[in-house]
Amino acid sequence: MSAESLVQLRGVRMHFFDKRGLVAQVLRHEAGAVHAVDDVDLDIPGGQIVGLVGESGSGKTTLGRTIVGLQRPTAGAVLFDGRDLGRASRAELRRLRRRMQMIFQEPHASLSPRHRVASLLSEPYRIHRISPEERSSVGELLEMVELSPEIASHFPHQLSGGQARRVGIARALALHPELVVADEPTSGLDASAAAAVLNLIKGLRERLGLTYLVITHDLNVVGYLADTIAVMYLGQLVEIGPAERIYESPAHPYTQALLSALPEPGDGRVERRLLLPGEIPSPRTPPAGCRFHTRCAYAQERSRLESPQLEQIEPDHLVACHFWREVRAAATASRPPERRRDGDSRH
Amino acid sequence: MSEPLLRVEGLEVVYRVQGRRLPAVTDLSFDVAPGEILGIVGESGCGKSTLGLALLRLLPQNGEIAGGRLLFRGRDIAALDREELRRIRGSQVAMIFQDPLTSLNPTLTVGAQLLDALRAHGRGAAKDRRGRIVAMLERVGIPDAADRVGRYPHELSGGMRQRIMIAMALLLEPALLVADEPTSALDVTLQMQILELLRALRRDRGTAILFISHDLGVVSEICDRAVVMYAGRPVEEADIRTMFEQPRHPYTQALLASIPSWRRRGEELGSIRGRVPSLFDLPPACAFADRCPHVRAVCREQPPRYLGAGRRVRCHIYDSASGYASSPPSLTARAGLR
Amino acid sequence: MTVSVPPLPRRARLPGRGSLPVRVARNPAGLFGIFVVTGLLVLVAFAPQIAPYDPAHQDIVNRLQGPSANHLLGTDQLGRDLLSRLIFGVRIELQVAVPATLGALALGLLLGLAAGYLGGRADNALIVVMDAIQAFPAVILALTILALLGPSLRNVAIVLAVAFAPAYARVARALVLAVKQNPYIEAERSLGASSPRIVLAHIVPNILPPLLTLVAMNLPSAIGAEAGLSFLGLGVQPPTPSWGVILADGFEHVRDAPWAVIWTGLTLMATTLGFTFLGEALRDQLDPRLAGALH
Repeated sequence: MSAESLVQLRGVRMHFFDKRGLVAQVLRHEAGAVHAVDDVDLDIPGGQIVGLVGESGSGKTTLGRTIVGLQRPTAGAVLFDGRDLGRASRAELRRLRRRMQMIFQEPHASLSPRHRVASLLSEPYRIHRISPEERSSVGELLEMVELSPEIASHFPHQLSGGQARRVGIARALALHPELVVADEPTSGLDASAAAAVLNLIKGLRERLGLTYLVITHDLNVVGYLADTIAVMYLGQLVEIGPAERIYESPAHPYTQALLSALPEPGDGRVERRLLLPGEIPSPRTPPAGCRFHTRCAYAQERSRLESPQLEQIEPDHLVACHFWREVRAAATASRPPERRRDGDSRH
Repeated sequence: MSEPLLRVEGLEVVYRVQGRRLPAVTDLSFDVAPGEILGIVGESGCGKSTLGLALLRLLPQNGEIAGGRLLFRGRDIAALDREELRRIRGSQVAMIFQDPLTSLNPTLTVGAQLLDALRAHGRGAAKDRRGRIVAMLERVGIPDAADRVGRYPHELSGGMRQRIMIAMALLLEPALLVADEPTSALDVTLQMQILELLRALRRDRGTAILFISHDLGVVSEICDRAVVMYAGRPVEEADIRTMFEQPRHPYTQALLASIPSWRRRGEELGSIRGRVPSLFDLPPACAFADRCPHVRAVCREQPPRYLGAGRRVRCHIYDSASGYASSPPSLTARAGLR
Repeated sequence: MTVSVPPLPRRARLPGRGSLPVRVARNPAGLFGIFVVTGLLVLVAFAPQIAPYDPAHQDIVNRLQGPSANHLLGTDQLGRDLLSRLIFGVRIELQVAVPATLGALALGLLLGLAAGYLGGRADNALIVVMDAIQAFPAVILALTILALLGPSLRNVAIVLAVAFAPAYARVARALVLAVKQNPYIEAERSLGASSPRIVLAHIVPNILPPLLTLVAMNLPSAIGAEAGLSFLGLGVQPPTPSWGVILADGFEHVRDAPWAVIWTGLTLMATTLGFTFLGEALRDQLDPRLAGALH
C-alpha cells in the first residue's frame, strides 16, 4: 500500500473478555471471549474517504474506536502517520490524538448536556491549551458546519438531531484534525437532515482536505461518499477495494448480498434478491474456517477447514474468499438489466 | 371495485398535551383492498405511528380519535364496543411493532404467549394448538421450532423475535396486518428475509398489509401503493412506481432527492431547508409552506385540498381552482431545492 | 421509535414554561414547600425582630401556661415564651442541619465519585467503608463522636454529616455509573480530556441536580436527627433553644402542660413536610431534563 497512508492497521485484534473471577483471568481463558475484530490490516490513504461497512457484530465500530485510541488493541498495531500509537509516549500520544477526531453515533448523547454549544466547541482548546491565535472562533466553527451563530448559546437538548450532529462535527473539527472517523453519520436523523450531513461531509473534505473513515451499515451512504470501501463480517475484512469495483463487480458473496439488498426506488421491485439464509453468528463463537461459510451459497468442504486470506485480485482490490472467481462471474452475469438502465447517470 | 378491506375516511387524531390539543393526524383518508400492501411513509412526527395505534384503538390515555371513520369490512372500528373490539383485534386486524423485545412478554415462553393468543380467540381444539404453533414458527423460518417454543424472548436474537411477532400476528390469520417499522431495527440482510416473509404472506394467505415506515427504500421494495404523510396530513398517494418515478408533491420530491446512493455520487443531495414544524405551531394553511421551494402567497392563505382518486395530491400547484398560477411568489420562495 | 406521545416540539423541550422557581410554584405541594422554606429563612434572618420575647427570659410566675394573649403558644417550665423559643430554635436547627447536610453531600459526593469513577478495587473498598458507617447504629456513632469531641452545635453537625454521608455516597455512585455510560463522556475522552476534567466538568454537573433534590428532601431528617440527639441530651445543651431541647423539657411536663410537645411536634412536622414537598417538586421539574442528562 502507498507510503502516504495516513493510518495503517496491522494485524489488529480486539478481543473482549467477560469480567470473570481471578482464576479465569490469570489463566487468560480465550474461550468465550468476544472476537470483535480479528487480524485486520487496513490502510487509509490521506485525502480519501474510506467506507467501513458491516452489519451488527462486524466489529466496524470497535475498529473505529481503536483507531482513535478509545480502545487499545488486544494485539496488532495502529500506526498514524507512521507512528505506532501503542508505543508512543504520553506526550506524543496526546499530540497524535489531536490529529484524529471522532464523530459519534448518537447526535445528542455525545454532547455533554449541561454545557452550551459555545463551551462544547471551545473545550478542545482548553484541554490542549491551544493559544488563542491558533483557535478557530466559535462563530467560524459554526459557520463551517452551516449553523447560525445563535446556536452557540443553546444547550444540546434544545437542538434538533441534525443540529446536534453538526455541533458534533464542528467540535471534531475544532482541533483541525487530519483524520475524521464518522460513526454512522446519518443515524437518528430524518431523510433530509441526513442528506444535509452527507453534503456537509463531502464539502468539508474538499474545503479542508480531510481524510475520512465512515463507519456505517448503510451501503447507500457509503456508495455516495466513499472512494474506497472495506466490508467487514464478524470481525474480519472480507473485501476491500475502490468503490467502483465494489459496486460493479463485487467478489465476495457477502458483499454481493449486501449490494443486492439495496432497494432501488423507481426500479420496480426485482424479486430476485440474494437472500442470505440464517443469521449472523455470535462473535463469541465464530464459525470455523471461513466465517461466512454457514450462510454462503458457494460454501464447500474447504470453507469449513480453511480460513481464506485477503488476496489481491486487481490493483487495490482485495478479497478474502476461496471462490471469488465464481462469485465474480455470477455477479456480472446475473446483474439485473434494470441496473444498467440509467447508464449515464452512473458515471 | 369490490369493497375495500379497510377504508379510512377523514381521520382526525388528537393528543392532549399540557392542556393543549395536538393534531397528530388530520384529514387522513385511504383504502386498503384485500391482499394489498399499502405503505404509509413519512419522517418522524408525521403521524404514521399514531395511525397504526388508532387503527387498533391502542392510543395512549391522552390520545383520542376526534373525527372521521375507520371502516374495517364496513364497520367503524372507532364505534365498536369493547367486546367487539376484542374480537377484531388479533384475529382480524393484527399489529407488529418495531422493537420485538419490548413487545413480547419477557416472563412467558414463546410458546406460552402464542398459546395465549390462540386461546383468547378460541381457535382450534386445545390439543391441536401446540401443533399449529410449531407449524407457524416453522412457516416464519425459525429453525428448531419445536425446541424454540420453550424459550424466553431474551434468549432469542432480534431477527427471531421479529419472526415470532409475525407468527403471533398470523396465528389467527388476520385479514389485515398493521406493521409499524417492522424492519427498522434489523440488519439489512435480515430485513430482506422479513420482507420476503411478508410478501409470502400476502401471496399465500391474501393478508393485506399496512406497512408503516420512514424508509422509502424498504417501502418501494414491498408496497403496491403508498401514502406520504407530513405533519399529520396525507400529502400524496399513488402506486409505488408512479410515486417514485413521477412524484408530484414538493415534499415527496424533496424526500426522494435526499436519498443517497451510488448513482448519485457526483451530485449534491437535495435537502429541505428548515425543519418539520412542531404540531403545536403549524403554519396556518399549507403545512409545508415554510419549506417549499415553490411556495406562493396562496399557500399561506388557503389550506390545499386533497384531490384525486387513486392518485392524490394535497398541493395548490395541482389544483386548478386554487389560484396558484396567478398567485404572486411568496417572499421566501427559492428557485429550487437547496 | 417509541409509540406514545409524539415528540415534544423542539423549541419548548422543557416541561412547562418559565424559570425553575415559577414551575415549582405551580405545583401546590411545591408552593407549600416554597412557602415553608421562605418562612423559615425569614425567621432565621429576623428572629430578634419577630419573636415577642427573649427566648432566655424567665418568668417563673407564669410557667407552664397554655396559649394566651401574652404568650401565643404558652410558656415552658421556666416561664419562657414558647413561641420565641421555637422561633429562635429555627436558627439552631438550620445552623446544625444545613452544614450537616451539606457536609454529608460533600463527603458523599467525594466517596461516590471515587467509587463510581475509579471502579474496580477502589470501588469495592469504598463500598465497604460506606457499609461500615451505615451498619454502625447511629446513636452509638453519635455517642462516640460526641464523647470524643464534646457536645456542641458544630460537633453535632459533624456527627450528622458522617452519619448521612453513606446515603449520599451511594446515590452519587449510582449516578456516576449511569453518567459514565453516556457517549458524551467517551467523546470528551476522545478529545483528550483528562480524568479530573471529565469528573469536574462533565460528571459532577450532571449528577448534581438529583443530589440537590436529595438534599432538599433530607434536610428535615437532619433536623429530626438533631432534635433526637438533643432530646437525648447528647447534642446541644440547654438553655440553647434547640427544638429537641424544647421537646425534652416539655416531655417532663407533658401530662399537665403538653403545649411544648404539641407545638414543637407541629413545627417539626410542618418543616419536614415543607422541605420534602419542595424537594419532590424540584425533582419533578428536573427529572424530565434528567432524561436528557442521564441517557
